[in-house]
Amino acid sequence: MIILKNIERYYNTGSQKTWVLKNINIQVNKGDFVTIMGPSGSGKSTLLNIIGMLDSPDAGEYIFNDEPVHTFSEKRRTELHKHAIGFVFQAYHLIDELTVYENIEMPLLYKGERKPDRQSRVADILDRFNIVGKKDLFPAQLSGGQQQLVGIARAIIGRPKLLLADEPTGNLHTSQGEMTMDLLRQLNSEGITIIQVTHNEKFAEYGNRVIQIEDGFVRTDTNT
Amino acid sequence: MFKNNLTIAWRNILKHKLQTGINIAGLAIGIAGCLVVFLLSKYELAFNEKVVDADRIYRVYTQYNGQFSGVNAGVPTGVATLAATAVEGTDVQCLVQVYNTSVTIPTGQGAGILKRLGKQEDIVLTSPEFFDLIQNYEWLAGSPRQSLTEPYQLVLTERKVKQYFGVKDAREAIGMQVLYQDSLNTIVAGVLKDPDFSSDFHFTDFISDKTIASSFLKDNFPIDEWSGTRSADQFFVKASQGVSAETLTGNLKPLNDRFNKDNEPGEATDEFLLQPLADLHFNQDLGIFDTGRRPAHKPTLYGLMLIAGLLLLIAAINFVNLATVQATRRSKETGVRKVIGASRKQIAGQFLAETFLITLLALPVALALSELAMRYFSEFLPDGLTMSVQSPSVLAFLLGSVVLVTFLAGLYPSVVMSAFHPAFAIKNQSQHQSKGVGLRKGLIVFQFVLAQAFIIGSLIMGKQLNFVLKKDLGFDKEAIVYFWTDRANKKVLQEQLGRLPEVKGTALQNKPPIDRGYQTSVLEFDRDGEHKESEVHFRMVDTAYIGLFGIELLAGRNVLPSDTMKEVIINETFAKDLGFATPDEAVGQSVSNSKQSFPIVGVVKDFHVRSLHNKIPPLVITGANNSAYSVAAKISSDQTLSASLEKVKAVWEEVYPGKDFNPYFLDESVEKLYESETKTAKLINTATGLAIFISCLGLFGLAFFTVTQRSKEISVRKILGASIAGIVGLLSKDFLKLVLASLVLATPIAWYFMDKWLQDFAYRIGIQWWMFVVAGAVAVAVAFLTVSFQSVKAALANPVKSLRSE
Ligand SMILES: Nc1ncnc2c1ncn2[C@@H]1O[C@H](COP(=O)(O)OP(=O)(O)OP(=O)(O)O)[C@@H](O)[C@H]1O
Ligand SMILES: [Mg+2]
Repeated sequence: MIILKNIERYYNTGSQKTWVLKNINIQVNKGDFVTIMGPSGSGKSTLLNIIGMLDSPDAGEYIFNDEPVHTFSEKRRTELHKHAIGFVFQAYHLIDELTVYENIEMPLLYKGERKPDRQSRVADILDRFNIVGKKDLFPAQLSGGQQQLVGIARAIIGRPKLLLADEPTGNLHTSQGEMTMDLLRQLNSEGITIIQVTHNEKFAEYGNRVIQIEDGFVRTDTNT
Repeated sequence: MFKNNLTIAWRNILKHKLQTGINIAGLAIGIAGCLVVFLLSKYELAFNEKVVDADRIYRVYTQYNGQFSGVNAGVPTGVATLAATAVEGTDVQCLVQVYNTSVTIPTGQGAGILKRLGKQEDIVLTSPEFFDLIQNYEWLAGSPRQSLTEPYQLVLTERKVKQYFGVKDAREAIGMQVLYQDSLNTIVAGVLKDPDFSSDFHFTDFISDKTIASSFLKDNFPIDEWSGTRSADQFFVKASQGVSAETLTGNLKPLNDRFNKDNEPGEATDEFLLQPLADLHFNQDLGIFDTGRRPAHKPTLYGLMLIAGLLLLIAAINFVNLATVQATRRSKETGVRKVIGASRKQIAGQFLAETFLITLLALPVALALSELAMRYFSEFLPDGLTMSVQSPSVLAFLLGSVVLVTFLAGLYPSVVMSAFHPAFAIKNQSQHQSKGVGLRKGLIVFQFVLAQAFIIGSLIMGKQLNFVLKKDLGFDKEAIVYFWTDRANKKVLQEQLGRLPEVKGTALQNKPPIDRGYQTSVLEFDRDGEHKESEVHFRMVDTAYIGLFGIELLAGRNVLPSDTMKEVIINETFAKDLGFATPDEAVGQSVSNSKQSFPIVGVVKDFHVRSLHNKIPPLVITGANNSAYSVAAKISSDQTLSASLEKVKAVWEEVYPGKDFNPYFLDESVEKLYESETKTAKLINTATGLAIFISCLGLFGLAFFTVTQRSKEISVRKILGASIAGIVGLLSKDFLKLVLASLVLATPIAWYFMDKWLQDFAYRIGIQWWMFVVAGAVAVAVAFLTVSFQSVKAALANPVKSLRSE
């Protein structure tokens, strides 16, 4: 599903280049649940952003579902990630001015879905995540775990093939974190490919594969 | 999608009340200004537009050349007679003679009187051709050929019929009588529907011009006359199809030849020219008709458009500034939207939706403000100007301004925001931060350049107006009241007024010492074989004039009582012009015109004869009671003015029963000389106030957000021991620098425009450096107050609180 070939990403700091990612070669298959680990500043988020098409590599090839993403225009990439990829963030990143319902509905609006379809799909998800009662609340009125639930709901409402989660449990208590990971595992079992970044060894075990990154290199890539 | 955008926009608007309030207030003021100017421009520019064949209608006016160059909107009446046979290329020719006089409605039985109306305007003597010239009129009764061909026939508009006779059906008025000037007995022969087209032809009473020859009017309305030109006698033509203005002007040659027939050899020839109807409403030199209505001043109109546009621009700048200063706050939201699939267009659309909504909210406020403005500026606005929101053009304007403002104010922020790179935006690293700052500073400077230029402008205008109104004019203008009489009984009036204890003195005059209008003539002077000709202003007065106005005699004596011009007093300027070293030298010399010589018996100190726009001209004061038909009286200050005036009025009514009592006060007449400048000053003052207000609103908002963003830094500084003054200084410094920078830019701009404005005055104040200092000080003070309100609040806040909330 995903093939990264010799991906490089650097920043120009002053006169010289600082490499954040160097010579990254990774292949992710459909149905994988990959965990990326590594010390702070090692380039995990950067890698995830590249996979998520929010950032583009300075060199290398990125093939997504047989399509050479690195050659795409920004517009085409947006179109692609809009339909194929969902994001979950450490800080949830819900829109403060919108209710739970509206936050979840938002991706469907951008995809241009019709109103009855939107209504039934949001209702399904609210029901499934057990947050029907919260649908008219604003993010500030929810606990962290609940906000992340909404964040995940929003990420999968568009039925993405790939779900990217950057430290989804980073701001959560252990019990809420476990609940979130259970949910991810369940989504994975339903066929969604997941790539997560985490510092938590225990949560890494939810996946079937761990990639260790250090100083922009892939150090280890092991199936668990 | 659109609904969702509006929902979010609405919630943002509610959440950020300060920003919303500032934007709505500013935009409302800007839009209101534009709306009023739009209404005014539309009203003025629509004049005569709907007149049928407007592009073929011309007014023939008189152009004097040579020494007395000038124009007169009228023509000698002989022009109309001669043109009928001698001027080709016209479909219609029509003489219109304005006849402003009193109206009396008799009961119809005996000598009974139903109604006595004072002097009315919009009465004309004309022929049926008028309705061929202006074909827009609708007739309720009669027709041009039936109703305006016989002597004493009268055509009225519906409104007048109702006013005069109080009848329901206008047609009932046919056959009824109307008396003009007490004794011109006319019969209503036609009724017009009130004109529904906007034109300068406000006429309501049309009297058949055949009446002139068979009534006393022939004394005042000379027929087929070439010796005099009155602006009340106007001649209109409608060119035939395909005849250009140039061709037609050429066709007027027989008229020019006739007019210049008696010229002496070498004398400049005067000519008749064509003024297109489209120019009628706007030509300041020619005026419209001899009524109180003044032409609209196109430059003023354009100036107003500019000012209103600038105000709207200042408000839009606030919007842009407040939006970009918040870019950081909004960047996270924008990033998230992009990550979950929003395209650039969709993001930009959302910001535009917010702008749109705010502009929409500003509309009702703008409408309320324009109502207020129209009341406040009523003296500027023509009476017929009203605002109706329902009219399609107003709706179109409002719609247009909403769209324009939405794009003007919303486009830049939405482009900037939508360009945020999502990966960075989510991390709250705004890449456009520094670019936004530069733009913001530029925009603030722009706002304050305008505000300070306005301050300097109003300061200089105020000083100059104060100067011209306070300047010693060289004569007494206090407590002087004067009247225009119609020659008969002026001496009786003067004598009876003089007997009142409330009156300290009286005089006969052709004009008071200072006057808007002027009367000049050429006088010759010969000495030592040298021949001089000068264009001289005239005061034709009695012996009391000089004393009454306190005009100082420098040499010689006062004029002796006389009915016609026999001897003259000249002013200092004239004496110098003639080459006399001292006033005494002039006394005993004489000046002459082509017929007669006049000994100079005295020299007076210079006094102002016209407004301070003009230099003091050579002047002659001569005893000529016959030409002086204005009576001036100095009212004593023993009683209140109104009590004294009552007495004066009683005398007037005794001498001139039934005539309107129209006292003119000299000090008011002096003020009236500067009417248009006073209006301009009022306008500029208002614009100044608004420009400062809107700019400071923006500054207030910016200060608020800056302080909010820097609250953590402020707290840390305080904990480290910074003083309150130090923190206020830190926060205000940047803004004040910008205000000072704008003063540097505003100075030359204001200097240039104000210098140009002052050039119109022959007597003017100098532009001085302290004026710019004052303007800068005012702007800095206001800006500092605005900013320090926020920064003092921040400096006084408990630092622990803001740190804990991080
Ligand atoms: N705009 C930038 N300019 C220069 N360097 C940057 C920029 N953004 C990120 N970096 C650097 O790139 C490196 C990788 O950052 P990244 O966010 O991918 O790390 P990470 O592995 O996700 O760390 P963490 O576990 O703390 O989230 C860091 O050293 C960071 O300093
Ligand atoms: Mg990271």
